[in-house]
Amino acid sequence: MEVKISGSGRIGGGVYESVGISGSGKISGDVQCENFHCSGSARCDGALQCSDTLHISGSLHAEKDVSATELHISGSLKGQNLFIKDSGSISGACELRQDLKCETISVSGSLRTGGGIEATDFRLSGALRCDGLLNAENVDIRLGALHNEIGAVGGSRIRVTTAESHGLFRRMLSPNIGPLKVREAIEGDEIHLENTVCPLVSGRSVKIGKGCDVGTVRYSEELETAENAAIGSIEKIGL
Amino acid sequence: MEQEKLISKRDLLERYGMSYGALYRWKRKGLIPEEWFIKKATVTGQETFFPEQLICPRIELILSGKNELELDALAEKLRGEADAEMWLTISTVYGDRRFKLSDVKKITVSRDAETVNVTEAVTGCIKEGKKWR
Repeated sequence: MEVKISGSGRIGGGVYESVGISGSGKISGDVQCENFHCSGSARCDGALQCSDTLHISGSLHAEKDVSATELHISGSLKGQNLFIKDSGSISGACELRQDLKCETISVSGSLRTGGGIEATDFRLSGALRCDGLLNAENVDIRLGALHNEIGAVGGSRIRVTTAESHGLFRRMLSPNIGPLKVREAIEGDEIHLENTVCPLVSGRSVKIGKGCDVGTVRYSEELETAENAAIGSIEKIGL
Repeated sequence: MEQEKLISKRDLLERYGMSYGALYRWKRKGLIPEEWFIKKATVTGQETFFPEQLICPRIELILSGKNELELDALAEKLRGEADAEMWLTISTVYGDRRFKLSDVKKITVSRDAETVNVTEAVTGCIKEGKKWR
């Protein structure tokens, strides 16, 4: 069954083929559908499960979990946990009370999670606040905001740079970009950091770049450090 | 409480010639449960340890069948076993602590010098073949 809201309306929970909201929609209960498309604003007081695509141009505010195979948000998404089977792209803001689990995700804007993040490929340009562990095969974070915090980072290729390094902003015009503050540790195989504050960085090939403040660096093969990087101690380990 | 033997993450990686990437990948796949990551404060800060008797056989099992399909199949099998597992949860004012029933050796209640063994009383209601109420 296809459901469409044009203007403002309400939908009850249930199983639908596709749900389309153009305007403002209120969903009471859990919804299972193939495709969910919202152009405007949607509020769901239950869980939203899409077997195919979830597409928001505007805002989606869910009380419980949101899941989809593919997800595209241009605007804002709020929910409990977010599960993306394949790929997701968020341009705007995403705020989750718990975890984000996905295959591939690309965020341009801000991502906040109360729990952890798991992904194969994690790409973010903007602001990141994650209370738990970011566990991803490939991490590429380009900082573009004042406050960025994360519990810990673990994976294979980990890269943290600032938007400035990519020539996106000239020094005088760049917004205030703060460091990425890591509470516990960054552990990976190939690590390249800039503007990162972290008590412990461990890896095979490690590069501590400009603006970093690291307590202890442990490396097994290669270490490169920038002149203005603050490093407490360095240990060569046998991994 | 008996102290189980722990191995540090660093020693584990060195012992098996593993990389951090591999460890985190296996964790994502569900091959290494979250409960096995034990954080302790040490002189160098927070370090992670694992119960040696659980993690080593698991790593050896993973390394023995290294292709992607085998690892996914292994994760599926472990998930199935975990779902069938029974858990003892103790809720306190400080939060909940969860234990696998198969890991529980003894449950006692004590006051002063008196100790009563309640293991059978707690676990005895769950017997082979008996349905949940």
